[in-house]
Amino acid sequence: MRKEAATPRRLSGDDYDLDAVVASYWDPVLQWIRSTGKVRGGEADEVRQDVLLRVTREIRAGKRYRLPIGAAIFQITNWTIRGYVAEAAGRREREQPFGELPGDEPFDTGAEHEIDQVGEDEVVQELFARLGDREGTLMTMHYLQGLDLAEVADAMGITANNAHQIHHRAKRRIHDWLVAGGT
Amino acid sequence: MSDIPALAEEFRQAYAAGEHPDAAAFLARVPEDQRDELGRLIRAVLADEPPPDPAPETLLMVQAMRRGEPPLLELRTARGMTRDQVVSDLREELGLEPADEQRVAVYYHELETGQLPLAGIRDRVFEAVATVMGVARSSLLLQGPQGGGAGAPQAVYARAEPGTEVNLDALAALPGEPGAVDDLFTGGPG
Repeated sequence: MRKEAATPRRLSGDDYDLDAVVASYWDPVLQWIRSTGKVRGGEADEVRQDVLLRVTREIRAGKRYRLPIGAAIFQITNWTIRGYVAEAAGRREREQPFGELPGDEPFDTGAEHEIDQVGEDEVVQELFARLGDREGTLMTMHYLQGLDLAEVADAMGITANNAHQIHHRAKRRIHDWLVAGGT
Repeated sequence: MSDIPALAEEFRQAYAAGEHPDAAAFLARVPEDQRDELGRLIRAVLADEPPPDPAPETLLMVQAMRRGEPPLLELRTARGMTRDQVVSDLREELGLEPADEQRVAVYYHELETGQLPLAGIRDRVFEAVATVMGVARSSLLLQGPQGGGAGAPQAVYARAEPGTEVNLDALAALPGEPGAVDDLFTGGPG
């Protein structure tokens, strides 16, 4: 997340060149998908298309991501891969010639539903809650309540320097969770 | 034992230099039980490094996609290439016989107009299209039926060349070896 300095933290269709963002993440998202080894060839292109079309649709509809745009895009990529893998597993299960008994429900890990039903705010709140008291509180105030770090430091009764350190540490932990493929 | 951190660093340097390194090719260089670890380090690179400036061709295709127009057609037009030219080059790049050209033309039309599911297309086809169009494989924007751009509900684009409507049933009547070409465009990943 070092790119945060060069990339605005939040994104909207009004204040950002959406085409340039989608184009700049076109290759990184494909490499992210391919690095998981879970989808191959044209399947990876299909997942990438789904991710970036979703981002395009959401931003054009006025959505503002709570996370830095790169982290939001990679998080959506993780969800989409999970849904795609679950769907493929379900498809294979249904195509098994001898595997199905009458009345069997199709295989479903629930991952597809997770993508549709879990709002981004809930996911981010859960993510921040996992950080613990100080880091979680700081990130919630900064990202979800929109306070800048100086205001957060005031509210928490800590120095601005301390707030920056906590912020940096929290971002690093989120980064590690993200690259591990979790939420 | 492979040197996983060294490979990740190699990926980082290539990525930062805008060389579009292929994560899957890096994973293929290590034993299977080390791929998760290398994949995690590659994702750390992707999350850490600023995204590279997009290739102008990618931006062109993304803009077309948002307008609801076929990205590949946009790229071909920008390159000043005719469809016949691309089909001929593609057929050669794929190592197919001249007799297969009509069959390749049918599939290329489907591909260019967003009617061919991407998951069915072999890697070799992506690579060949990228080579013919003169772009990196990862920069290529092919759109399948699920897409259609933010402004377009479906990906069967209105802006297709006149006279190129295709009846896929006609494939059976075409000369050439059906198996090989069909497999390349519909045979699945890999």
